[in-house]
Amino acid sequence: MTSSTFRGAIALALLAVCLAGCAQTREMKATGAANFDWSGPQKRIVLIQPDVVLAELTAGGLNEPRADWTNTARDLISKGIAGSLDQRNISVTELDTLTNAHDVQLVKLHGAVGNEIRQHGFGGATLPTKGSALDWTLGPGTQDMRQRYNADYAMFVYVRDSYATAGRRAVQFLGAIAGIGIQGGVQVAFVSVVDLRTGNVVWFNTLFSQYGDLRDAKGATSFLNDILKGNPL
Amino acid sequence: MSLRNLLSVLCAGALFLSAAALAEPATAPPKPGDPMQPGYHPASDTDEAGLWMMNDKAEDTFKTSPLLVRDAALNAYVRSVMCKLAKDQCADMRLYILDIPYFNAAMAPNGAMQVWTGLLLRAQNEAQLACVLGHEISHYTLRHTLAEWRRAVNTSGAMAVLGIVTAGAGVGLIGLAADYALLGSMMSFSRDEEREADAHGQDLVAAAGYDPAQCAALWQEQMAEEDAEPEHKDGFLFLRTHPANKERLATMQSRAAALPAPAAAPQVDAEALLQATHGFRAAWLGEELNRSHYGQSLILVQALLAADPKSGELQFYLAEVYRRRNEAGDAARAADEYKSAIAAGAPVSAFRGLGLTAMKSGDPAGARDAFQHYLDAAPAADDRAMVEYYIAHLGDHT
Repeated sequence: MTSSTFRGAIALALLAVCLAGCAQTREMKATGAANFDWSGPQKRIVLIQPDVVLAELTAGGLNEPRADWTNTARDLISKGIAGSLDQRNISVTELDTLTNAHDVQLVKLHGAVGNEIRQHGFGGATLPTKGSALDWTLGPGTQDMRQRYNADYAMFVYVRDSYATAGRRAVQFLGAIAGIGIQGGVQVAFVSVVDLRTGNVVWFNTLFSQYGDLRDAKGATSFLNDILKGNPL
Repeated sequence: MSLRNLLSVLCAGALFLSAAALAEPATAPPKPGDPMQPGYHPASDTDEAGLWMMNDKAEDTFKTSPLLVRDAALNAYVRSVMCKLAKDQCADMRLYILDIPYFNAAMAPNGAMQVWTGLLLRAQNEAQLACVLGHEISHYTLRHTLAEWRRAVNTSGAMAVLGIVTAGAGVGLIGLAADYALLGSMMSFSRDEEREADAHGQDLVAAAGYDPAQCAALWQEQMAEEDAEPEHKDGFLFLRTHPANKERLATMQSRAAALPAPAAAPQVDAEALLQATHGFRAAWLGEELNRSHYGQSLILVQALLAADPKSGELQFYLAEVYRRRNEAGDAARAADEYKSAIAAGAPVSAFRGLGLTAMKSGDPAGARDAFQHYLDAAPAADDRAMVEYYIAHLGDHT
């Protein structure tokens, strides 16, 4: 192998790693049926503790959950959303811990429903009987939250985010030399605004990205700007 | 690209990779096997904290599970056995009794203990229950999940590299063999952990004053039950992850004999366990029979009867096993057992069972008599209409 073909192989490999790691964000959102109906003069929202897991993507492709990163990201996201709603004169009750078993179930349900909306609510995998209208719901089980937290709407946030270790990046590099594309870290997130009277999801936004960093304030702000874009509140 | 050149590229890459791997921060000072202190909680920047976090999320599912047995007395009893073994660390553990008719218990790395009702039905005494709990507590205090996790991270990393190297060099078969070799090493390591948990658990059992020989007795009973229907081993999760059962049984027996003699006589406490579980036994046996593995249920009910031979309830379930298994001679065996059960004060359903058996054996008069007894004793029975239908049509096909 000449030095120039070697350089070529390295350049190609770097390009492949870059292509795997620097894809565009795909922002998808639906804004249907956002007819907000507030029961009082003050807009009141409960912000449910965001369901966040940040993980380190190991060389072998395992996601190793990181408690410290997760805690940091969860706090940054909560504070960021609360601050942004506050600026719009919305009264926000922050639910920082989940102690009520029913709330825990609703958070899990939101994770399941949100992932379905992500897959079937937009674009290619639209369900024939469902179409692209935003008519998904968590069901009337949300009603008791309305009294408990004295709010008309709830905001649910779901984030799964992984960061490639140096070892993983090395495997991506090696794979690129061998002509194999290997996945790096990815960020999957969605946010729902739910009408607590009906459980209906009245606004939903989702984000898929292969860059971004939720472990610091700057990265979290940029993430929130993307995920809250178009938010009709 | 010649093979030599390819190898030099791959070697350069491998060097880069190992340098990168070394540069990764060494997380988590505690090593698997390090004893865990009471009140322990991992530092938040460790891999162990990540494992705990995910297990905390999973634990939420137990708390609201429809399978969760919430009976306060039963929970207090099983917890008291757990605490005799775990002592100071008991405060770090949560107990979830789940209504699942299989022999199993499991402890998550964050201290969440699951105990299935199939285990509570099968343990013949408190010492045997302690054997399983002690084994699970040992997995927790010795941080075996952390060890497994770190091995998975390292082994899958090695597999990813080997997979690439062999794919690039066109030696797929060698790559496959290497993958299997690595998988083999994962398996054999967890067997070592099982042995370690056996030994450590048995020590906890003996230290709490229980008879450590009961661990081997329980193991032997479960192996006998499994062997009755080897094609249905799936229910025995606790044994399935524990290969080489015979060797481990022998180790448990010899360890029990070698443990220093306790100051007081070792406890077995058959009475305590029976008292705590007695009110649930009928429901658990009903679920056990619904597994439809009658060969295994037969071994189980016979073993329970050996310990409690006068129980009409157990005789009734023995009759139910025969009737539902329905092999040659089972109808006659079931009829005999229903009769003994009725004599011993069995539940009223024994008359219905006797009626069904008589009907099947072509004895309409006997069936009518038994069914009538059933309806007289339980006039509000859910299946009254069905039984009346049987009575009305007795003899139609005989």
